[in-house]
This record gives sequence, C-alpha cells and structure tokens, in this order.
Amino acid sequence: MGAFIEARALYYTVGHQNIVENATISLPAGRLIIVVGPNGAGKSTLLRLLSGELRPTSGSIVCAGEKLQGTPTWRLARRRAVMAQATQLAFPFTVNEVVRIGLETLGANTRGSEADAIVAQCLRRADILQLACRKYHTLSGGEQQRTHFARVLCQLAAGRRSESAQALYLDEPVASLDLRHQLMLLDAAREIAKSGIAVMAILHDLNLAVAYADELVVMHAGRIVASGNPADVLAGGIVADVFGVDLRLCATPPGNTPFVLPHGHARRVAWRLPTPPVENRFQPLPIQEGATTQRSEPRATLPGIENTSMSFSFWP
Amino acid sequence: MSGAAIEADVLQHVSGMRRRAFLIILLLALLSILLFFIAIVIGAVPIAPARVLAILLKASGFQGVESRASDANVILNIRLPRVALGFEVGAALAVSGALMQGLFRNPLADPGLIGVSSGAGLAAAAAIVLGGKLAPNVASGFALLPVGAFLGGLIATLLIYAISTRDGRTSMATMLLAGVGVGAFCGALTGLLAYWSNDQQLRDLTFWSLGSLNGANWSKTMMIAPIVLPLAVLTSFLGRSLNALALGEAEAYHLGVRVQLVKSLTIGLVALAVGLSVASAGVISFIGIVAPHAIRLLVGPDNRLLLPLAALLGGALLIGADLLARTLVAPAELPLGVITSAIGAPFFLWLLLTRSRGLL
Ligand SMILES: Nc1ncnc2c1ncn2[C@@H]1O[C@H](COP(=O)(O)OP(=O)(O)OP(=O)(O)O)[C@@H](O)[C@H]1O
Ligand SMILES: [Mg+2]
Repeated sequence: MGAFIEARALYYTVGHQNIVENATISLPAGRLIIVVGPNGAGKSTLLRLLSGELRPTSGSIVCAGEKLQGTPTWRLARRRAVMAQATQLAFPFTVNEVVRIGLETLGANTRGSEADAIVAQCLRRADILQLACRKYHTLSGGEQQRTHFARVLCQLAAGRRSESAQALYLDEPVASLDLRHQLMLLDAAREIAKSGIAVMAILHDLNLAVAYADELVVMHAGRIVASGNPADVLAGGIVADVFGVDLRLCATPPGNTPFVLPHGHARRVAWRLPTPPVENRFQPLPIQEGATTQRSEPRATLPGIENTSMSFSFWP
Repeated sequence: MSGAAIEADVLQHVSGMRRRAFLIILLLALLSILLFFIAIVIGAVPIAPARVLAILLKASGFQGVESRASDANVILNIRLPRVALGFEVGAALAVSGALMQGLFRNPLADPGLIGVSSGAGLAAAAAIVLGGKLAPNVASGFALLPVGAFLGGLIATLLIYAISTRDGRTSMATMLLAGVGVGAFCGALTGLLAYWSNDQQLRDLTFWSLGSLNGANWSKTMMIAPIVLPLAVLTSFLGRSLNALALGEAEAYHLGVRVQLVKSLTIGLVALAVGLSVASAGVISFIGIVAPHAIRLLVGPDNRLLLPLAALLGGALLIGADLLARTLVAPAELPLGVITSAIGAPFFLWLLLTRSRGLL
C-alpha cells in the first residue's frame, strides 16, 4: 500500500516566524503515526497543513496521488476526516444529530436503515450510544470528545463508499478522556489503521504514544526532530531534551515494551522493579494475605465493553 | 440496559423526532392557509366567507360560480395581493434571519446585521426628503422609494462585504463590526435628513421605517416572488452547509463545505430578500429573530427543517400582524412594525426567561 500523504519540505510562516519549518512527512496507508512535542511545537499546525485547512507557505503535499491544493473540497472530505483539538457547537443539536452531520455534508444518503446502521455503529464505537438523544451542550467534556470521534468515524464510513485511500487525523483525541476511553479510542484508531487507513494522531502521553504508534514523530519548535520506531526514538534520548525534563526509561515485560517516568516523580515514589517478573501478564498478580482482595484483575487489554462491538463490520 | 435495547431506544427517539417534525410541518401549513383565508375574509367591506370562497374558486378557473364584480375586485385586487405580499415578506425575513443566525453562528443575529436595513433606510429617507426637491419630474414618487431602498440596501451590504473580505476570505467577526459601523453612519445621515424634513415628510419617514403593507398590489407581490425560487432550490444545500457550520468554519471545511461559497451565497440571498421586502413593505423588525427561534424550540436546530418551517411561520406571523394592524384601529391603520415588535418582543423575552430557567 502506498502513502496517502507525501509532504516535502513544508514551511508555514506567519510574519517572520516559521511555525512549521522544513517538515517532510509521509502518512502510509494502514499505519498509525503519532506526533508528540511540547506545547506550541507546531503539531496542530502541521496537522492542519496536511488536512488541507491551511496552505503551506512553501513545500508540496501530494494526497492520494493528486496535489492536495488541487483536490476539490468535497472529494477531500470523503478522503479524510479530522478531529480538531477543540470544537465549539453553536446550536443545541443532539449527539445523534452532530454525528449525522458527518454523513450529510458528504451528500451520502442520510435517510434509511443503512445510514441509521452506520450512525449507530459509530456511536457504539465511540461508546456514546447511550447518550445519543441528549443535547450536546449537556454532555461532559469527555463525552463531547467522544461525540466528535463518532462524527469523524461516520464521515470516514460514508467516504469509504467512493474512496479507497483514506486518512484520519486526530488532534489530541484523548485529551479529556478517562483511562478506559483513552484505550478504547486508541484501540479503535489502531483498528482503523489496520483496515488500510492512514491515521495520524497527536498525543501528549508519551507512554500511550509508544504503546500504540507504528511510527513516532517528535516535533520541537516547528521542526520534526526525530521520527521512526517508537522504542528507538524513545531510547535515543531526544524526548527528554525536547521536553526539558529528566526522564527515566523503563521497560515492562514481556517484550520489554519501553515506557518513561518523569524523573522527579520517580525520585519521590519508592521505586521497585516489577516483581516478580511474570511470564504471562494475563495471570493475576499474587495477592498478599490480608491485602484487599479481588480488586481488579490486571489485564493487558480492555475488558470487553459490553456495548462496544470490536469489529468494523460497517466498512463495506 | 443491553446494547441492542439502547440502540432500539435511540432509533425510536429519532423516528419520534421525525414524526414530530412532520406533524409540525403539517400544523404550520394548515395555520398558514387558515390565516391566509381569514385575512382575505376580514376587511372594511364585509364579504361573507362563502362568497370569498366562491370568488377565489371562480378566479382560479372554476365555472358556474357566481359573484358580484365589486366584491371580486376587492378580494382579487386589494386583499389577495396584500395578504400574498405579507406572506412573502414574512417568509423572506424569517428565512433571512435563520440564514444569518446560521452563518454568524449566533441565535441573535438578524438580517439587519449586514447593513441592508440601514442602507435601505438611508436611501428611503433620501428619496422621501430629497426626492421631491432634486428630481421632481423623474420621481413619480411611487417608484423612487422602493427602487432607492433596494439599491441602498444592496450598496450597504456590498460595502460591508468588501470591508470584511481579505484574500478571498470573509471574516464574520469583521463583518459584524463593519455592519455596526456602517449602520451607525447610515443612521446618522438618516437622522440628518429627518432633521431637514418638513412635517409631512417626517410622517412618511416614520411610517415607512415602521413598515406597512398598505399600497400592496400585484406588481409588488410579483416583484418579490423571484427570490423565492433560488431560496427554495438552495434550501437543502444551505441547510446542510449551515448544519456543518454550526461546528465552526474549519470543521465545516473538513466536512466538505465550501465555506466561502456558502458565505457569499447566503449574504447575497439575504441582501436580495431583505432588500426586496424592505423596498415593498418598509422595515419590519423581529420576524427574523422570533420565527427561527420558535422553530428551533419546536423541532430543534436542524437547518434543513428550520429554513422551510421558519418561512411558513414567518409568513403566517406577518399575515396575522397585518390583520391586527388594519383591524385594531379601523378604519385607520397601525404601522406593521409596531405590531410585530409589540408582540414579538414580549414573546422573545418570555423565550429568554423560560430558557434561562431551563424549562425549554
Ligand atoms: N496564526 C498564527 N499567528 C501567530 N502564531 C501562530 C499562529 N498559528 C499558530 N501560531 C503559533 O505557532 C505555534 C504552534 O502552534 P500549534 O497550535 O501548532 O502548537 P501545538 O504543537 O499544537 O501545541 P499544543 O500542544 O499546545 O496543542 C504556537 O506557538 C502558536 O502560538
Ligand atoms: Mg495543538
């Protein structure tokens, strides 16, 4: 599978300041690319350049074999969906209506059971189905974010009828989600990538980024300063420099999945190695006598969410 | 609750909402037709409803129905064009209000924001006060006022549009401010003209600026009709686009909306619709805010429903208001704007009160 986006030597300049500087990046189909970097590094700006919302000052972007700038808006909308960092809704739509907006602007058939099925599937994937009849304004921040995730899923599903090459852009999609829904959303993002869609996500949680990314991109002051295999990027030590903090690099068995701890935190918390080195992390850890029993079973992945179907069967 | 049960619940809710919307469309259509008929029946010359019906039937080509010629004249050439004009103006104002609110993403936006009314007001004042002096021969008095008002409104809107458009992009925030600026300037000049005017001119000016359907005739009714066509054809396109715009301009772009096209189209349509209504009936306030707002409370903010329903309600409201305006103090006539504001404003305040208490 080829690359959905090939961007070369992108510059975005406001006044005399380069907000994005000499960025070269490609989003291959079927891969999840995660971008990290400090506030103001230019991550959102890069995403908006790649989505076509902003025009680069210089540089070229090729999207699915065509020049991005020449692609008509309606076709672009079928090829890629964007979940922005913040979205404000002007009128009191219900959750269901907001998600449907993802269908109707594409000119897709919005009535009938097929459309209903797509909407319901997307609502379920974002675990927001139970709130579908509520007014969007009455939702909590995380619930609103899940609503927008459902909306972009809907847009992708509708676009998939006519376009084979697609991309999904997520700008800090888990910023206000609880732990379970962070994993749920990123699991969904992985699955979407696996179905042949190029996915680009901006995250601030390094450990999540490393755990989920096929490729990790680090940005700093408008430049892409590192990119590649997440474990390698993390081991390279550049992340600590970029964020200006001391990081302790650790690893969890099995497979020594790397993770980082901010050093200050590590110093304050009594540190011990994960004991004992368990062969199979699906096994519950031995519970000490007298300790609170039957808390939660440590698991590697999400316990099955009852109303979340894990298959993307609606992709035609 | 299990997933399937929740999904069934949601589907039921959605189909319930659709049924409700359908019911409200039906009710509003019935209300409009009823008001239309009542407004034709009631008037200075008493004509029985059955006879009115007979006249209408005969006029629409049914043979064998008898009616008196003078009655037919009153109905067909005085009342019918007036009521039809009222419906058109009300619908145009209400749809324009709904379009502006969607475009500015603000439920309080009003067609006046883009300067049509203030520009038209200035031009009308100029026509009334200066028209007689500068061009006594050209001014047949009848044509100068509406044509001037229409052009004035259009010019003001074009000015505001030009000020707020840079590099092919219109900034709605700038447009709002430019509208305020142009409005203040036009208001000042209108005030100056009022200061220069004599008593009769001042009276004309006041009456015009409060709106009236007095002097409606078929040519005015036909003048405003062509704007209905593009509005009707574009309703579903504009409805979809404005729904996406509720999420913001960037999101709308991501969803495939050609934002600048929608902006230009909407502003152009509103300028034409409001310009034509102002030219034929003067400045009528509040329909543009009250009608869309009431529809939003009834069926929700979906613009694909909102635009046609607001048109129906706006038309019905204006017919009702005109009925009151010409019957309350008969044989004299109240200015239309007085009725729409006197009823619209308390209704509006009531909406605000109930909404802030969370009742709606
Ligand atoms: N139109 C603009 N004019 C001036 N500065 C801008 C403009 N747009 C972005 N910037 C600046 O460019 C920098 C990058 O912004 P961007 O939104 O891309 O950051 P980010 O990496 O997404 O940060 P965050 O993690 O906070 O979301 C910021 O310092 C911002 O202030
Ligand atoms: Mg950002």
